Amino acid sequence: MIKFWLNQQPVELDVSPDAPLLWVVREMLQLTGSKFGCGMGLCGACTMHLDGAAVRTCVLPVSAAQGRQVTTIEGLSSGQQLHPVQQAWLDENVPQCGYCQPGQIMSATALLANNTKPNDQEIDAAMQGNICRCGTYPRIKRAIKRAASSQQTVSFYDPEQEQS
Amino acid sequence: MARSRRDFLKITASTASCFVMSVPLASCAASNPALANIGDEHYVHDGFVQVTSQSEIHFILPRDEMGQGVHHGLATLIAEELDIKVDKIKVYFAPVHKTYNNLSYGAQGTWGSSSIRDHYLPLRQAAADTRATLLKAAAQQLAIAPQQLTCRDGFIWHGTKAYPLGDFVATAAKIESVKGAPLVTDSQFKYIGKDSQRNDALAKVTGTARFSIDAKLTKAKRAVVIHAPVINGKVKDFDATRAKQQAGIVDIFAISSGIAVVAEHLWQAKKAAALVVTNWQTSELAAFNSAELPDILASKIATESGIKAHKSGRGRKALATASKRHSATYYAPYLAHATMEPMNCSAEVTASGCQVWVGSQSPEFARNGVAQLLDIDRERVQFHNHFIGGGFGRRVGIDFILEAVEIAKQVEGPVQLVWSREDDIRNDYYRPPSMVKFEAGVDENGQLSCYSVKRSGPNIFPYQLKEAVPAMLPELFPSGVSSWLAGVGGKVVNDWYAESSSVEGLFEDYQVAHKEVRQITYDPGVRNGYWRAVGHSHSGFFKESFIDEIAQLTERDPFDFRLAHLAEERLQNTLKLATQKAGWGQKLPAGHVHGVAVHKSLKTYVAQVVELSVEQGQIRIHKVTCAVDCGIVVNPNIVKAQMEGGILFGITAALYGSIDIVEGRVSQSNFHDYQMLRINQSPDIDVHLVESKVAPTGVGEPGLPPIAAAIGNAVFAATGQRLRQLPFNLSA
Repeated sequence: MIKFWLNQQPVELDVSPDAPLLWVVREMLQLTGSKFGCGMGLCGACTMHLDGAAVRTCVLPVSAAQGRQVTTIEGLSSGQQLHPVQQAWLDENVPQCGYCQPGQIMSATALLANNTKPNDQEIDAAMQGNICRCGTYPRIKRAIKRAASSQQTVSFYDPEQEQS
Repeated sequence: MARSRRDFLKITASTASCFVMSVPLASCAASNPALANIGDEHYVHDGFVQVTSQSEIHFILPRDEMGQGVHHGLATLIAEELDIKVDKIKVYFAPVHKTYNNLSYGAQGTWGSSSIRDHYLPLRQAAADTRATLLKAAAQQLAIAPQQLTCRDGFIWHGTKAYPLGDFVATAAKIESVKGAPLVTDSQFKYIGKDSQRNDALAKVTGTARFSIDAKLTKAKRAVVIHAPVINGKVKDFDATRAKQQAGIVDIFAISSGIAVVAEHLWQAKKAAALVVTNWQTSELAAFNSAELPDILASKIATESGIKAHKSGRGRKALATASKRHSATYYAPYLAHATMEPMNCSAEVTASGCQVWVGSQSPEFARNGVAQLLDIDRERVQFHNHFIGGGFGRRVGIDFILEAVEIAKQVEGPVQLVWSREDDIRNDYYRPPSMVKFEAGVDENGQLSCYSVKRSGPNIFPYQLKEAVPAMLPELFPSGVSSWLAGVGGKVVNDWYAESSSVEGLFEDYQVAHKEVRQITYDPGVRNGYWRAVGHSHSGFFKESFIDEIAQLTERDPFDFRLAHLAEERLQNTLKLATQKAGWGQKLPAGHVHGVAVHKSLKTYVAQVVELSVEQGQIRIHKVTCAVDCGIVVNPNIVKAQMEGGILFGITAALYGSIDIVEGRVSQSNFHDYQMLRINQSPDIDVHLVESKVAPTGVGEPGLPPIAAAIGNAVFAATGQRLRQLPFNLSA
């Protein structure tokens, strides 16, 4: 049995310990916000937080989460209140295709949790493991700076009202 | 719009069963949530706009959303004419039906940067007519003169009294629809031309946007395919004894493109796939090495005259009378698309038909291809389109969809096929490699007088025909006939007719008295496809680098030389804006240089100025200044985003992009050896829009073509080294 907390909810699973955390969360726990991109930890689309640190879950065995806190994009906002980084992403109209954005946002929130005012080099260092093929990097940089300088922004969304 | 189509879409008091009428849309209505799940009265106009009795406004989006912004941009057109905020409109992806055809291409597909260009007026008209019909219905129902009523924000207004639109849908459905209602005049636009938050952004930052890989099929089996290591290789035999003993394995069997491994969970399928022992029957491509292509293409150009693609004036013959001549040869390799969402598709085949859940740029080819594969009527294939995690032309191809259906045919219940990144890189429809040889003549006044290009390489269309011909022919054509026709068509393209996408963008932008363009087809047989901006993606590099060479030959400033030769005023104005904003000719920081390029593609004009430095043999791009003229701008922020995206996509290709094939095997496999630009390499980008009142054109692709040349031209300015081959290698 593997036990961990997923978005602050206890989870207990009968699963092979070497199954990658990404796929366990997507297929067994039905949270599909975290994406598959490369399977080698090279693109960051699968980024989640493990005890607050950004990790590439396509190569992380689920056993590594034993007894720990896992946070996905779905657990980032608190109730209907968006995380300030998500709000900054909206304000800068960052997403294009949107596929890499959950991973980008998880890397950005992990950065800002440890460094409230990152400079350009620190943003580059924290974000260069996340590929965006649509080319949203200039906006990601702006959104991170905006989130860093913003007070807690309040915005609401209804998770039931998801697109298509 | 044809009367008949409007009539069968005008449905009152509907239940799901009401849709099962003997009308063409019946089958797709059932698969379209917007049209099927409404159990009460509503009004549907032309298959695009639906107003329900609860006053919900639904927009059936005829194109797919892959990042380019049509989900928001096309909904903005509806919003403008209904006078309601864009985010109040619910957007659904269209089912497969001719109503949703791409007007320029006569098929249902998202390509050619055509969505805004094609739909700008028709969608506004559909919404304007909806509004006029609802007003007419309200006037009748309320017994108030129509001129005393207005429609705004989801209500019909009579003075300060507001009636929800839903109050009038039953009447609207019964009366004759208004046709040709006046459109909002440009000066009155509330939403067109204004920035607004994309209507898909919230879902995309909260992880709730549904891509096909996220299809909620909780009981679905998961599948992977082991593909042949040599392109086009086939399974000879295989041993899955050990693999089948692994946990969760449902079945392992051969399909036409390899071995399918089906399991309860994807990681189980991946693990077991590594244990399958396969003997492959190799293909004729086992002898092919892409490193030999430049020599082969150069010898074709040297020895063959090829097919005429364009000739004006005296063509190449005018070289003889030029006072100065110059020649140069350029090359670009195979490229993969590498969309962030790897190819994936879910399918379920039952006795009654097939359901497909996928994100596709060509739903019609896909739906019809699936019907042909299963030998069932097209209307028995229910096609569910999704957000696309990057298209760039890759998802025009339907190979992975057919593969998923071939697997689903042998599996009970739904099955989801997910390709690995390695599958994705090694089984693409690659951008064709291309070599061009330019020859130019300049007259005694330093004006370009003769411009000749020979292009050699494969063509895309023969590969596309294999999928398009069966899909576009009527259903009754036997598959043998359609594939024969596709083969004949492909041969005609290769042997007799210069395909436009092979030579587009090589010669059009400059005014020269004598021009000649010739195409020499050479195709090693590796599958080719449409890659963002298609022919323009390399033509822009070739042409704009060579023009820089001629400017240098005539000792003129690259900006001045271009301005003196550009064929259209819009090209000139776009170039002027970019260079003015970039400070062309002004002093730059030490070691920094500018390079410029301008290119028209897909009816949109783009100019770019790159500021870079070369440090220890490495290109460092600091800033790109871009100007774009796409006519009327529907959403300035999205246009800028598309320019940014096109530029960065193009920088990846210019600095890193190459698919190399060694003895029929693709050398690259994942992001460590098929590199993508990362955030630390991403320059500042400054985009400026040319003000315009002419009809809008698309922006998904045109941001890409000039960038590689602008970089190469700047490198020349910095080092004197002319880069004539992609990807750039300064040590070469």
